[in-house]
Amino acid sequence: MSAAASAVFDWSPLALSLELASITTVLLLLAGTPLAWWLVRRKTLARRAVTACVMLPLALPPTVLGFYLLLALGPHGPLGALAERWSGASFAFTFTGLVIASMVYSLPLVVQPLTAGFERLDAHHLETAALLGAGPWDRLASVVLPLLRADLLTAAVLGFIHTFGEFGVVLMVGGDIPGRTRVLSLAIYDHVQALDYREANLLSAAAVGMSFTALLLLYLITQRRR
Amino acid sequence: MLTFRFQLRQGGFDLDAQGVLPAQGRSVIFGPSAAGKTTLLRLMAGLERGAQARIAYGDELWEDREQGVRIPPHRRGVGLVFQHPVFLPGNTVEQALRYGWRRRQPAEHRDGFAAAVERFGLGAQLRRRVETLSGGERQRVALLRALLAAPRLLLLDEPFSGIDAELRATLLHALEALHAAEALPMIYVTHSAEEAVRFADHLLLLEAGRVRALGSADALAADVSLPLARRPDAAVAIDTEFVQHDADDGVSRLAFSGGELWVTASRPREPGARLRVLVHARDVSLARTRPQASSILNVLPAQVAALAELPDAAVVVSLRIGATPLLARVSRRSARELELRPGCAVYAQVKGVALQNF
Repeated sequence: MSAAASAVFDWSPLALSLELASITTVLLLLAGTPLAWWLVRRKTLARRAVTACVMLPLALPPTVLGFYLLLALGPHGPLGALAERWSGASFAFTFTGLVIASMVYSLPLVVQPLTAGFERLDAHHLETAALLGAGPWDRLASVVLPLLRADLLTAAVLGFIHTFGEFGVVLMVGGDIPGRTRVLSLAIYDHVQALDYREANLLSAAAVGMSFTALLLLYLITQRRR
Repeated sequence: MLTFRFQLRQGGFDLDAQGVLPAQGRSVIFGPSAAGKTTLLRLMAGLERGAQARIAYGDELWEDREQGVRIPPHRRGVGLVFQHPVFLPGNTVEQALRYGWRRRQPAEHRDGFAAAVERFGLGAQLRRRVETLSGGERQRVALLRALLAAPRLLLLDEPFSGIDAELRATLLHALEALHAAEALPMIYVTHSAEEAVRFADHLLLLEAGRVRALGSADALAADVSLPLARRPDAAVAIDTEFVQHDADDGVSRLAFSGGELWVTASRPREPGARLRVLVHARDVSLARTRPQASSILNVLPAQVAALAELPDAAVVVSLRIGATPLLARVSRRSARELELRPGCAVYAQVKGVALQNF
């Protein structure tokens, strides 16, 4: 490789992966926190079934998950058809489709630490706060979030790096379109296929560095707190 | 007035309790463990769901399942001190105390924080972390935290059960002083008969989820058909006023409705100071004629109101001295030889009087 080639090295897959992982993580925390709360509040049969569904993406091969997500998000699937009626195009092979698919894929890793946190949360803390005059949102901010700080951080980091590293699902749903859905893992695969090991190495090293830093921060912070 | 009716089934437990408690003074919910005392208190605070509940405080309806009314706990203005209070980890004592204070204390009282903290002897503890507090300190902080949130009604769930007797007396004293100062109505749950009798103006006896009796503490504590009076440690509390102190003999004279009592006391009080004394049934003996030259300081003419046989060859006798009830526990033989009947006149010899140390 020449010096000129490295000057125009395409970092956009890394940027796209970071964007995808960030958006997915934020949305998952917003959706996963009330879901986790709902799942632990009472243990009915329905809630156990939902728990199993939430955990299912962990058990399935990513290609299986990706295949069904592609069907659902494509023009003939329920979500895709809805999107097509709304905006004229389905979710297949779009960034929005990737976000939805990533949310499903990473949901278990976000919900699991949160349910564990809620299980551990002593209801007396909430009752005490209520009797001292704190309403529901006040209790969420002044009791739940501080007590679940470590669990929220764990959920965020796991959701982020899991999304950051996914391959099978993004390949099936995103279709590897440069600049739109070609995320880091797909770009690395393409570079290796083209025998461009140097490019593959640069992106891979970036991925290792990112994930390691995120995990290191997680353990530094959570283990100091406990 | 706190008017309530609760029906709740939880697992094998079944609570069906209704009653009216005055919105003033100190009410005690007394009963054996697993009678549902804590559940009843939680229902009053609005912490239990799934009950057939109707509760009104004065003319304020807090909850009525049929009308679909339910005021959530944070808007009832009720304080609750749990048996095992919890604090947010990492908080300092000051942060814990300010939580409710910030949210509930009216603006014009905002400068009273330091004074309240001092009154509870917690001034030096404000910067400590809650994790480092001892059991007694936790209870004290929890109690003050509840008070600083300016409740209109304070509920206490066996708040001092896990701590030693001396400290418990101190805390009860603080509570008593507070009650006298602020006239804050309190409902206090306990399974200790002595605490119940000492503390209560009104008593609610709860057994297996049902209200066995509800009324003034004087009457219920001395009612021989109820379990309190039949216990080996049965006692009645008598509200008295300090009259005079004899420093040479170390005794004080106290007046109550119906008579006077001499009690051993180390120091005089303010004339007219109100003192509650506890007289145990086992410390009262009976005679048909006035005893002469006795070592007993207090000999009070009394009338037998009722009596009941107890299992261990004993008889518990409910007496009236004027309007004031008193209990005596005598042997079955003594009761027969004295020919005790309801209505007959006796002399009650009161041996020991516990001057309320709170």
